[in-house]
Amino acid sequence: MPLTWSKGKRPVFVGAGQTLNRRYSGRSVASLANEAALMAIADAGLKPKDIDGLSSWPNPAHQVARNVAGYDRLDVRAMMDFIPLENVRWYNQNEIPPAGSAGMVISAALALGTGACNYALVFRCGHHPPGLRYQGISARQAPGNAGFALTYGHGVGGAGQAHHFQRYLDKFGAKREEMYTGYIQSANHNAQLNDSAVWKGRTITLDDYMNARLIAYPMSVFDNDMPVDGVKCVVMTTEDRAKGTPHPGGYFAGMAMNQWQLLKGGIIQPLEAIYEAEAVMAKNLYESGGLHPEDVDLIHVYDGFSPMVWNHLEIFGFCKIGEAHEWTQGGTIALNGPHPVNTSGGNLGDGRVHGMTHVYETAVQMMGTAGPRQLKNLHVAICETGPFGNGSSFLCTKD
Amino acid sequence: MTITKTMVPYPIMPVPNEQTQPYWDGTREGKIMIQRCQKCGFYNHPPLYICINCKDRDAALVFEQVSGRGTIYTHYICHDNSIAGFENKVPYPVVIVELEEQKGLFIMSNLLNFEYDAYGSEIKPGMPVEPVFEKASETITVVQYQPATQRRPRQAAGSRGSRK
Ligand SMILES: [Zn+2]
Repeated sequence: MPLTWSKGKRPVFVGAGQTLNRRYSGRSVASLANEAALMAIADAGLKPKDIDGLSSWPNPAHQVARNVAGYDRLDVRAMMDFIPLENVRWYNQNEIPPAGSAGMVISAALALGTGACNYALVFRCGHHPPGLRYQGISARQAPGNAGFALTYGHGVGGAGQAHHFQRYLDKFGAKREEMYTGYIQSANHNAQLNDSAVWKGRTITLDDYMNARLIAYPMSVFDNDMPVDGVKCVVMTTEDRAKGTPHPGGYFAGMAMNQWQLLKGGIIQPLEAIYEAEAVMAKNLYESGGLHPEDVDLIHVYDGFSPMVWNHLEIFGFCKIGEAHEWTQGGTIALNGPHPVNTSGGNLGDGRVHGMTHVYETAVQMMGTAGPRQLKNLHVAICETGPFGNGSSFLCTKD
Repeated sequence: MTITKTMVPYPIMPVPNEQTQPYWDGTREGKIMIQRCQKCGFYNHPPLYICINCKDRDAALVFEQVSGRGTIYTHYICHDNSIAGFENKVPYPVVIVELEEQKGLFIMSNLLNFEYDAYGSEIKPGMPVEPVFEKASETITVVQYQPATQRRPRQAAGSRGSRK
């Protein structure tokens, strides 16, 4: 069943703001949040007093997180304190990563559609702790179920995705170098047009990719996104209210969240189970929007780990299962290609603000404010934000 | 090329809880004990509080010995040294073994006694493997795998392994 909205109540993006992602900014999350949020609110032609809804996914999602608001965590109370926002009537604070960044947009859209709020600020921070290794395990014991995995030295960054990537390579006869020409290269190119991107000013060649420091082969440093300090925000409202704003764009048109029940527990989720579960999400997404893969002309899929791009291009029906490694070759997904993917460079190019990178770029492309990366004649965008091979997603349309 | 003959000493020692204790009691005796639903026969590993397959709230979940025989499902070669204690073990394989009892019934291993390169090029899905039991401490024995040396006793027609 397609989503239905009362007249004038379709949710839409009206503003976006971000700090520049930096490996170490030397600034607090509180300071970054203040900058990005005020930028997003001003971009929408609004004032902080207008914001009456907040949607967040505050979990820092890394192993050495302290979970301190303003330091490495950005939750709704912190956001209210940091701006300040004094008229908030509704908020959402996601807990699970699969709800993630698209889940924040979905929640905000539903709140806007019912009038629970009129102007929602959606936000997430990335944080790279100084003096600590972002991904580091110092445990000497593996309690309970951890004893079935950590004991074997399983748990470096992207280890789970390395299992999936190897399975994909074996199962579909793909080659690792195809990942360069079938994603890394275009993400690297797109990042050159994005001032926020950690890859800006850095050209990654096929040789660089094939000789990169290995993390968990087949995954190298270039297959794992880089931890950064940065905050990204978008502002959403309803169609009627958006009429008075400078550049509304991206009318919320469909949504879906991952079907967890199909994942049968276990030491790992096999690639096949993830495909099965996410096929349900893809079906629900298109049905809720009354749209089809061939309608989509802007694709944002989570790429905190490179293989997920291929997985989701297949799952969302842009090509057949097992064929993304070929379909993506020859510029198919390039900025000027027929199916542009992750136009800001994605998480790999832009940096690890998880799926908020994809939400932000979807919003600015649909609002027409993407600057040097701006695509023309966009009609329908898909945005999927993972992470970890299971996520949430939404569709939005130009008109 | 590298061969890992043993992962002893284990830098990170399993600590059983009330759910996983029967598994570790089994490995100490050279057995792999997996929790099995007595209603539908489904193996749940890691052990659960309700069978993931049939969801029968009254079904008994009992640890039963499995053959241990399996095949490689997937793998990676760990090169990163961000796990304390494993720095001098890299590169090491982390393989997923699918037990013959049930599709998707997985056990992790480091694949001992197999020569591999930095990319694990010779580790192939479907490769038959057999368990090795490594004494990690007085109370903990860790299950590892190595290439199968024994011909399978029950060989279904059309399954792998032509009788050369
Ligand atoms: Zn059962």
